[in-house]
Amino acid sequence: MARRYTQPDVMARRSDDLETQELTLNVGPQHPSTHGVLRLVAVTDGEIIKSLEPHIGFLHRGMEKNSEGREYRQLIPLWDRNDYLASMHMDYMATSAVEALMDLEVPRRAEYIRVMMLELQRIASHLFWFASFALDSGAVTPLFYALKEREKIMDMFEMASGARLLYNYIRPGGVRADITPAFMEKLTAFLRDFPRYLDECEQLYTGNAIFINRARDVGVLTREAAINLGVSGPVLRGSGVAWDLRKDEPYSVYPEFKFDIPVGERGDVLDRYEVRFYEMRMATEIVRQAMEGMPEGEYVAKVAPSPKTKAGEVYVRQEAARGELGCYLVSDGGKKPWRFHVRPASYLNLGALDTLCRGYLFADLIIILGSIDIVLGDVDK
Amino acid sequence: MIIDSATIWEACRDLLMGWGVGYPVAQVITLLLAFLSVAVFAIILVLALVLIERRLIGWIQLRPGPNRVGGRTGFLQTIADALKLLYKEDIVPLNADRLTYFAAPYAVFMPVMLMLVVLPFGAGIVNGSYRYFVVSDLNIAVLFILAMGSIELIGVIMAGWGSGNKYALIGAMRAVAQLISYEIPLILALVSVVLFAGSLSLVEIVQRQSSTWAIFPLFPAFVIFFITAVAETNRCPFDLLEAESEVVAGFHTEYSGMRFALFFLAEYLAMWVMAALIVVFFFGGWKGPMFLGQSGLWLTSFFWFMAKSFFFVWCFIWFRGTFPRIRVDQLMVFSWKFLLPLAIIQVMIVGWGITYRNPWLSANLIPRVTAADANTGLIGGFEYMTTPDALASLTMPELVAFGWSVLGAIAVIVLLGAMFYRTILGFRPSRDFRREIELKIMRLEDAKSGE
Amino acid sequence: MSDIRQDNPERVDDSSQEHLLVRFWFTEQESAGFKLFALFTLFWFATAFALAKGYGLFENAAELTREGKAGLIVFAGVPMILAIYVSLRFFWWVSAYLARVAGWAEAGKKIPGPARWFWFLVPAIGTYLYVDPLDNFGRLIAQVNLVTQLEQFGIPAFNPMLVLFRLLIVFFLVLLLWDYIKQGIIIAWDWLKETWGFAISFPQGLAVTLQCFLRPNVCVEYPEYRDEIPENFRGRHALVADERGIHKCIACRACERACPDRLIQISAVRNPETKKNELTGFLLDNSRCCFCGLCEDACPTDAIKHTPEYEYSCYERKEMVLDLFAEYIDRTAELRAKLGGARVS
Repeated sequence: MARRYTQPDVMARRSDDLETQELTLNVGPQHPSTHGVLRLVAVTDGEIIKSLEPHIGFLHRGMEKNSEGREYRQLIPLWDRNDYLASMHMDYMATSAVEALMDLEVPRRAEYIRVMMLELQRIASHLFWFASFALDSGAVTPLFYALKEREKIMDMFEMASGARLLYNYIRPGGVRADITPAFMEKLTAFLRDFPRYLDECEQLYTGNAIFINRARDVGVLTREAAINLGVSGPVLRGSGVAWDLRKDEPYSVYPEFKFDIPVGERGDVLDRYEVRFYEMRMATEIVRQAMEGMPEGEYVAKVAPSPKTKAGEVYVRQEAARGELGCYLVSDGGKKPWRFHVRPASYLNLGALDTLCRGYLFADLIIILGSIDIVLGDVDK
Repeated sequence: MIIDSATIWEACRDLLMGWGVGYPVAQVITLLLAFLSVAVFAIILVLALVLIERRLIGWIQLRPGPNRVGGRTGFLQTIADALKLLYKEDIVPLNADRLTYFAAPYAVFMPVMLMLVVLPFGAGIVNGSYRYFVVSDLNIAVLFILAMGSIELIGVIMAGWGSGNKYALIGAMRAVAQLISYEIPLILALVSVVLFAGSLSLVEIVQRQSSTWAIFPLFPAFVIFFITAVAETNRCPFDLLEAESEVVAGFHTEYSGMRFALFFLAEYLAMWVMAALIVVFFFGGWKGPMFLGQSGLWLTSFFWFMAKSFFFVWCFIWFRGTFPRIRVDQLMVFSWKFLLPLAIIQVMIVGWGITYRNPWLSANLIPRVTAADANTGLIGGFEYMTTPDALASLTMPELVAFGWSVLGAIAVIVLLGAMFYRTILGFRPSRDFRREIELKIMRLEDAKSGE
Repeated sequence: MSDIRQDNPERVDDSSQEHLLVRFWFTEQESAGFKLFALFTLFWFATAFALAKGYGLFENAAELTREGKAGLIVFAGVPMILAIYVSLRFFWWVSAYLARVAGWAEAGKKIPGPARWFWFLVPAIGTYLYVDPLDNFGRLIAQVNLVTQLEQFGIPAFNPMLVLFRLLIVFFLVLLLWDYIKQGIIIAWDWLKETWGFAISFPQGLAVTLQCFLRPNVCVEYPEYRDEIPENFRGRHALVADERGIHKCIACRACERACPDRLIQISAVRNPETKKNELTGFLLDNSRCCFCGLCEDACPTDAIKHTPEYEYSCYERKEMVLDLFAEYIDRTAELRAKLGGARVS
């Protein structure tokens, strides 16, 4: 059943009796549901959104300029703070850019540890997305359940790297510290309990008729529009495009793992939601395979404390939790980058918000925004 | 009517007159005492309810809730909040319509408190005679309660208009639309209960549930009443007005301090009153195993009433912790296109049951007790004909209709049993159940994808 | 009424039979429709016959002899057969339309059912049962006393044969329209399952929250209880002292260079005897520290470390500038005094 209220229908109905005006509404920078400081200026006709304009930049910190005067090892804690909820991905982004310009062989154990951490970070990021998404839609308890599970992951990261949110763990050559048997114990317990927790969450929230009615056929992004707008990650896969960098342009040791990629059919909020849940399950699978197949060896290669790269430019990309995260590094052959530019995942996903919201009710705006899963740190850098 | 309403306040007045106080003075004193008891009960109840809700919601969310103020139970938390709100600055917007702005919180709070006047809290033997624990046993109590609900609506409009804020006005309009849409199924559900019991008086409705609680024959009415009660008190899943993530502000945006506290308290009091009404209409009011014998009857009846109503308060809190919010247009569709037809069908069923003297659906059987027995005060005095006797007096068409209703009841029980069986069995995340949200999972182990 | 010949081109091409009044070969579509039409006519006339009997037009037939009843069938059946012939002969063109209506217009579609002859049996048997020309079943029912029992039970005018006939007709109709019925059942079942799934999602969600309500809560009630912190947690900095209470810093200033915000300030003097730098001061501005751990990574002697201490809030900003050297001296004074060395570094 078509859910969009197309504008010509509305105007045709109204043109003979009522003269209506468009209302410009402001979802201000301070709002509990915009996941950060984001201003949305919506032009609505009654309840139906005619156009939507995100105003960003409230969280701009000048990180690209800031990284031009820093050594490569100092870049990693800086870019941790870019997407602060998926910090391992940011670490890996900076690290892989630097390693691409160096002659370096990363030990296999380090690669396995990296993949394990990246997938655990994906789970943690999706759990936080789920918590805030459920809270936006009005269910107050999945927030706490999801954050409780995320605490377990953060405890594991704390054991490995020493910090709970901003890790500075993945660095050129390998990782910062090896993983301990205590870490493996916690990981085993977590992997044993997590699929059951996901089943519980699905029983509580996903099957709920209220939620399905709010999410099905809402915020539909067609396949062509998704590709044209340049979105990536679960937004792209929810719209039916089977594109995942871990399968299509594999990096690190991903070719050694067996996992599936979820692809949606309708491109609505429910599909993006389901894609993320399935990704959490697949990430659990990958972590289990990494844990069981962890090779012995060094956790870091021999590399200078402050590494130097060759001169040149490189663009590396990876499948971060929110989408495709790319990094363009121009180096002049020293310890500091000449230009460090990041292609953020959330920035381009946010650009699709206008297309996503047109024709839907204003009450759907928050749900659609939640389903894109943006972090303003990633958008504004 | 079987028996004249004999409330404890009349006993109190009789007691005072027995001490030699004149009738007018005794009446005035009794009224003051009644008023004080209602007020004190309401205040204490609301304070307790806020704390109970916060702690229970906390436990649902795997956290303790307030546990600092007043020891580990945090029982002084609400008092601390109330004191804080009292000390806040009293802001009145410049554009506010002053009279409306000031009167609105009271217009919302007072009807809810007035609903407490007709609630029967129990019954028992006081001073040798059987008395009801109700401030006023109106014989149009149901109408009174519905009227109070409607006055609350006017209070909401007053709040939205008096704030001088167009977003508050839009919010008030939405609130009123929600409340009105859900009042109609509520009224129809109550109509079916009133038809079942044959009276608008709450005391009478409770007494008619001696043999069987009204929830069994009138289960759809219970479901409708429960859902509309959740919607009338603006609780989750119908709390879009209070939602932080909604852009349009609620009707109480411009209120701060004690005025806001009044809205807040009105909501919690309304929640308890709705729970108490559910108990009175469907779960037999104060009836339960009377374990303290005849002399302590009033105590056990009070206990059962409070226990059952707090169980439903727990149900409200449980719902709040579990469900997401309904969108405003879905809310309207749900009320007008689902609840209203269901309520109409329920009224039809009850009417048909009464016409054909179906003992399951109508309690208008001839009572055996005469007026002389009415004041013995024994619970047994109010029993009606038992079902086998009633069945023997029915004619053939009535018997056939009864048979159909038995079949229907069996079908409902089987359906419910299947539902609960499936619930207990738990969620099996198989593709069969989630067919409507099936994903296309592509196995990309070997091949790369195109585009 | 349009000529079917214009709608169906292959008929125009089939020139070998155009001159015949009745053609012997039908297209698949026509053949399917023809069967339907035949069945329909049979059923139609059987129903007419049964209705006539039901309305008592053959009242006196009950007293007829066996031969009389057979003759009655022939006499009444002749017009029926005539009507069937006329309709098949002159209205065969209706069959194509009927086939399209019944959904059998696709080529090669079989009539649904176990076998084709079954379709003819059902109304035939039903008609025979109802008409009962040889009065077999009437006598059987009378022997069993079925009608009397039913009348005593309270259901008046019960005619088992009529009921059976009606049931058979209903069965026949169901078989005939099975495609549509099946589609309708599928649609209704899908809607029912979806509605049931929706309805049951509420109690299942409530069951989950009830289970979590009954579980112990996972809150660590700070400050009475604290979580255990792993040893490598990046908290407050400290200079590490060895077992003799002497710090390990060699004042190489690697941590100064490593810190992203240049927050470390080391002062050292060169000892002319040992030709080594000796630490005299170590300041670290903790108010802007980002706790990245690069200082402890860069240190070659593991002299500076993050300790797991995290509870050191203070009221003034200048207290956040840590004098790690002074703290080290205070912390290890006792140990160093006990071990006899007043040496600081």
